[in-house]
Amino acid sequence: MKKSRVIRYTLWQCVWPIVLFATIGCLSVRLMAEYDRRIDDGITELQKKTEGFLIKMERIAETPEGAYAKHIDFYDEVKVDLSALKVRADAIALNDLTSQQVGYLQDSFRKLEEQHKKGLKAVMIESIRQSFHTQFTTILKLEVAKKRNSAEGKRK
Amino acid sequence: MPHKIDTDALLKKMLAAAGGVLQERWPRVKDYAEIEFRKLLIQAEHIKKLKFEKKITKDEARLLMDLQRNAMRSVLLTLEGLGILTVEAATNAALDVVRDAVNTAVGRGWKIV
Repeated sequence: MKKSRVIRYTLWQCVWPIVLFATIGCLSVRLMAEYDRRIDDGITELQKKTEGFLIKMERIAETPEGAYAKHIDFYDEVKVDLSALKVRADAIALNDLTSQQVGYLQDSFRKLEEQHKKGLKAVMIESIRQSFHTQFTTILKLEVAKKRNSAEGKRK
Repeated sequence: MPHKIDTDALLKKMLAAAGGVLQERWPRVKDYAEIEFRKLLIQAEHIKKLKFEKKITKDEARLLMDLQRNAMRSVLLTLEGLGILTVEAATNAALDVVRDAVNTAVGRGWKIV
């Protein structure tokens, strides 16, 4: 009985430093998803596409050329792009914030499309641009911050 | 002429509300929050002006405000994310200190952890 206790004690003395070092060695905290280049590139591409559309609309809004029917392709493309980004964001663990942001972007495009069906006025474009600009920027800002955390070696 | 939106007073309220939620993470993101909140308030004022001058209808004003609301939500999510990343970086920096201390204690240039 006494001998087995000695053996157990000796074993524990050998094992605990290994456990401690392994724990410290592997221990790092991750509270948010890693930087995702595809989200970064996808949002940047969508921003360009949206800006191109808004520049055009500033010129042709309230003319037959600016009618919704002539721009269905733009909305279709945006829906596909955003759907891909949403699936991507949803699939990554600890990425809930980015996923919600993409969801709000989808909602904004849905609302813009609904309004375009009724008609878009040139005077509205600057405000629309500003709100989309903020949405794109906030998503990219978070993605860049994730990248910086990795780059500074604070996440292992 | 409709009442002017008191952007400074509203900005203070918004900053106080966000600061209360983000607490100790707040100082790190305050400057960014202030810039974004101010932009949104300026837009709200602009939309109100367009509506007052009858350049846009009530429905169009509602759309523009809905878009601003989504922009605001996105700003808040980024603020939350920046706060979380700050905590993450601080925690890992603390763990690095422990790691360095163990390696130093072992000595002989060994990096066992």
